[in-house]
Amino acid sequence: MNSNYEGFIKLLDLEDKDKSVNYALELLKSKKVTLEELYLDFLAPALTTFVCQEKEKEICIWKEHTRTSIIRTILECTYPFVIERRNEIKKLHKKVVILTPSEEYHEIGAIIVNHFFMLAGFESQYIGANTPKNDILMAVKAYQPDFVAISVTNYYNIVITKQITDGIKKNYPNVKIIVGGQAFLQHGAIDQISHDYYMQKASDVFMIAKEVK
Amino acid sequence: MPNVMELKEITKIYGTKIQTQVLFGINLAFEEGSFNSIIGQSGSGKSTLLNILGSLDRPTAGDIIINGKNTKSLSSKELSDLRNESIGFIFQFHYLLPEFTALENVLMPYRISKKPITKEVLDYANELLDIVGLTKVKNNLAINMSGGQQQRVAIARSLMNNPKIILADEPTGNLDSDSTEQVYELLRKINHQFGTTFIIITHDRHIAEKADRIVEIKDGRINLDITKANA
Ligand code: B12
Ligand SMILES: Nc1ncnc2c1ncn2[C@@H]1O[C@H](COP(=O)(O)OP(=O)(O)OP(=O)(O)O)[C@@H](O)[C@H]1O
Ligand SMILES: [Mg+2]
Repeated sequence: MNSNYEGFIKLLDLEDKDKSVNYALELLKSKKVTLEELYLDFLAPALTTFVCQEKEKEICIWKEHTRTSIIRTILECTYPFVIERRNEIKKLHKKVVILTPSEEYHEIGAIIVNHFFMLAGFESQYIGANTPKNDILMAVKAYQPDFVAISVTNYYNIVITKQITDGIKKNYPNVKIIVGGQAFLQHGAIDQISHDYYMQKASDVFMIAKEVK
Repeated sequence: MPNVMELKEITKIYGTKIQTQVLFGINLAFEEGSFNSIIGQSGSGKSTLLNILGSLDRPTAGDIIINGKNTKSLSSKELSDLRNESIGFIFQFHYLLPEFTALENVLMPYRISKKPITKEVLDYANELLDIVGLTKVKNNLAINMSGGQQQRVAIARSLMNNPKIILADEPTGNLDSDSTEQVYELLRKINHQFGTTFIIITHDRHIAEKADRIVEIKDGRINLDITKANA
């Protein structure tokens, strides 16, 4: 674990948004951590390992929202760093559309994955959380992406995801489907979804980049 | 956990002159104590499937194994005995007798089968009404109860025979979201307390996403079958 992580978590526990944001951005500016490290070793675990104290049960959801909001702000603030990095790397000339399906409000993972796609040289577009099936199919028609990446967290949303991936395969058979997110940890889930790539880590997108080079 | 119920290659064709095939070679097994949801579009065959599971209807072909017994080899009498002792039913419309009290409705399975209502039986009925949170209104006529209360009476009634399995067809279909949540909590409580297996048809996302398993039926076939990793 990065030695700065503890300091970061302390600020988050205090719910000090200003200090948390400055701390994270300072780590990037001073090159103490890379973007990838910030995303995977700081921002993601700050959420996935978040547990409520027993005595704070009633305000748990509220605390979770507060933390998510801080993490989200940091994530958006890293965008200039992404642009800087992207200017240094060779473009792949491959388009990716990334989204979460309807009723799926967990989007931090999807936004991180979007940034990873950009860092890997893709032309990547995050089209949003809670995206209705027909809007997804229209977006695929309009953007004509090479890849559609779908992030699913909630287990029930596998149902709609199957309809989406079946719809894409039927109407746009050349578009490659990438799926990821915590929902696919459920038994049998991934085997029943049409897909070309299933990845658990955001950093796995570098493997796809290698393949298409 | 062993399976309490199993379906093997179940097909169902309705009608003789004009035939409609509704189920196509369904294979499914349900583990003891599990909490399952069945979802799918209107007309996909969910109720047909549940009625076959509960042996209220016979399949055109295939085997149903309840508690390890293949129902094919049973006589009608044996089958209805097996059903009465192992399966409880809850429907969207609860079919309470309106002119009877909540307590009398819960005791109805005993009245109908003309079994004596002993003190133990009466105590148990009262306890069940307690569990479903209706102690205060148990002597009200069903007709004077709210939809959610009536549904809870129906749940208590379905538990009267201590069934190992409860089959529910849209148990919250005509309830508001608060009552839906209450009924779900109640079913979960029974599931934990008695280890009862639940197979619930639902159009309600909030029920399905809390189940341990989601089975989706599409055009008479299993389209999706997922089980929670920590279930
Ligand atoms: C923050 C949060 C929320 C926020 C989301 C805010 C937002 N705008 O995103 C809010 C408050 C809205 C929320 C709501 C709910 N949540 Co919530 N939430 C979380 C929490 C704490 C963190 C999620 C997160 O952002 N993680 C950080 C990201 C970075 O991790 P990640 O998504 O896993 O993504 C990583 C990888 O999976 C991968 N990845 C993800 N997608 C993809 C896609 C591709 C293509 C690739 C390559 C990789 C990849 O890369 C990422 C980086 O490593 C989790 C706890 C947990 N264990 O994660 C619960 C959790 C996900 N929530 C849960 C639940 C149940 C809910 C609610 C139903 C209600 C509730 N009880 O809280 C609602 C549902 C809302 C809905 N319909 O979607 C459950 C899910 C259980 C399940 N299996 O279904 C969890 C696990 C909590 C729990 N233990 O019960 N939640
Ligand atoms: N007794 C019957 N005779 C002929 N066809 C029937 C009969 N019962 C049902 N069907 C047909 O079988 C199909 C499946 O019906 P079923 O009641 O199982 O659907 P369902 O999935 O429960 O739908 P809903 O969500 O609307 O309750 C439908 O097309 C229906 O019209
Ligand atoms: Mg039905």
